[in-house]
Amino acid sequence: MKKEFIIVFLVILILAVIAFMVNDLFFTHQSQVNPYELNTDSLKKTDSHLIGYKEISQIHVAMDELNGIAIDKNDHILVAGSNLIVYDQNYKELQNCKLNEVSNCLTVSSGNEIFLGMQTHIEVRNMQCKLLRRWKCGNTESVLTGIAVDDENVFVADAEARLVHQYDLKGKFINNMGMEDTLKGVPGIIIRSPFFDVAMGRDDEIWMVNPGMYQLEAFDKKGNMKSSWGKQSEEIDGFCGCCNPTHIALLSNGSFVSSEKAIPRVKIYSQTGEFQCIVAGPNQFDEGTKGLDLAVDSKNKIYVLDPVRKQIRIFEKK
Amino acid sequence: MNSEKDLPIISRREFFRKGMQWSILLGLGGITVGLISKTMSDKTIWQIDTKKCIQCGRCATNCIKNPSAVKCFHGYDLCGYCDLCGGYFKPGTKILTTAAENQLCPTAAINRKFIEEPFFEYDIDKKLCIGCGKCVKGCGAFGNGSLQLQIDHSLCDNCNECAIARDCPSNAISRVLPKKAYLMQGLRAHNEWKNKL
Repeated sequence: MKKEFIIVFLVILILAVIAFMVNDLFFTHQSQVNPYELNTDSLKKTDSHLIGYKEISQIHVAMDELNGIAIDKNDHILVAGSNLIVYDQNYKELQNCKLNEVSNCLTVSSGNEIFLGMQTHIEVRNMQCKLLRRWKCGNTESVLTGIAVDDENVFVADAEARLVHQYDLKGKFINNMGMEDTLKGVPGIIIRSPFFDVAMGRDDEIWMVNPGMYQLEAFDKKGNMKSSWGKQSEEIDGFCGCCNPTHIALLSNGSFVSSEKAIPRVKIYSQTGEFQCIVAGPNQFDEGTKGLDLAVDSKNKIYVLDPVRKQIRIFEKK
Repeated sequence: MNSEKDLPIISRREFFRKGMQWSILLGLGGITVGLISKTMSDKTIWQIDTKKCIQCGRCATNCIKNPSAVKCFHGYDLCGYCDLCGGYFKPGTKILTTAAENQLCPTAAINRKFIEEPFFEYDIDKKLCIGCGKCVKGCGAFGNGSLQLQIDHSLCDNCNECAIARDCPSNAISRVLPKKAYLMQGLRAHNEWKNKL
């Protein structure tokens, strides 16, 4: 009896040793903490109480490369990239034409003319995609990344030249704005990656992003700087990364919608630049998403162009 | 059907002689093939494909060299010369100073130098860099990805079986020809990538 007990005890002991060795050989490595692992997950967490918008719909865009979005006065949605696509208010495709060259940005005038920023030139097309006119913009190295239009002028953001070119609607050059001028207190545009957006304000001012300075700057049509806001911070109320925000749009009350890269998110700021709420947090975008162009319709719905998912994502206030 | 009588008759001496000749020929052929393949493998070197690298940190711990032959290299023409550099500062750093507690690099191998407002230059001190890739991940996550991990061929022993290649979870390390010794991504293809000495 005693001998049997010893045998059973030894068998259990051997099995325990084998189990320990198997665990040590095959499983412990997986749970080892890497001392050099950089975890950035904490920066990508968002407080759900700060989210003021909900995603109500998506439009899948069948296009190889999509870069820019705009909305006209009739709430038609226009998307540009390798193609130019026009959707109606019910997201039905009205026009789809292949462009000769990839467009980086677009805007639409009150006269329903579509202004497309190509690599080094501007194309003006009608709603049927017919080319009306085109003109050279900047130099051969230019990278046109943003465009805005009012009743008289077109403003084109040139990321290579780091300034905004001002033209009339026919393409006649008027002025450059955004150049460094210490006497007038203009810091100059700093661009560290090819994102540089421009938008029209409610009072005919021109808002341009200074991504390297993490701020938005307003200019009058003579190129005088009127105001600026924005701060560098990893907190939710600031902009971080090498250069942010990448894109902006304005709501009807003059508030700003901004989108960022690195930590992909869309936020709302007041007319004076105070953080208001989050439209979409990083967990709503795929890893590495950048270049989220923005547009706002007449009902203040926010349209985010997601180039990774190839979707127009529509957000409405909760 | 052939019978045994139709087959050519070979003497035992002839059989051994021919057998010996074929053995010598096969042996020489084998040695030649072996030498050629060894020569060819000697002409290739280990390198990290930056597109596949996930900065897991194993390059710092698994290389037989101590510190690792993997180093961080800086592609200056990709760099934004940012004040708030994701490769230099720990996430969440409030005040952007060179204080040790702010630095992401565990060995303080990155030197930050003021150029002009708001530009800063970042140089890698090769002697201090252990190839952990923390700065590379930070730069890629928040910046332009100008910091990249590469095997420094002035330090690598070019082992037959590279210990970090064997353990690399993304299979980012492979043998390349010496003319493509460094696989860094950058704006200018002709640019010669190297750390400042």
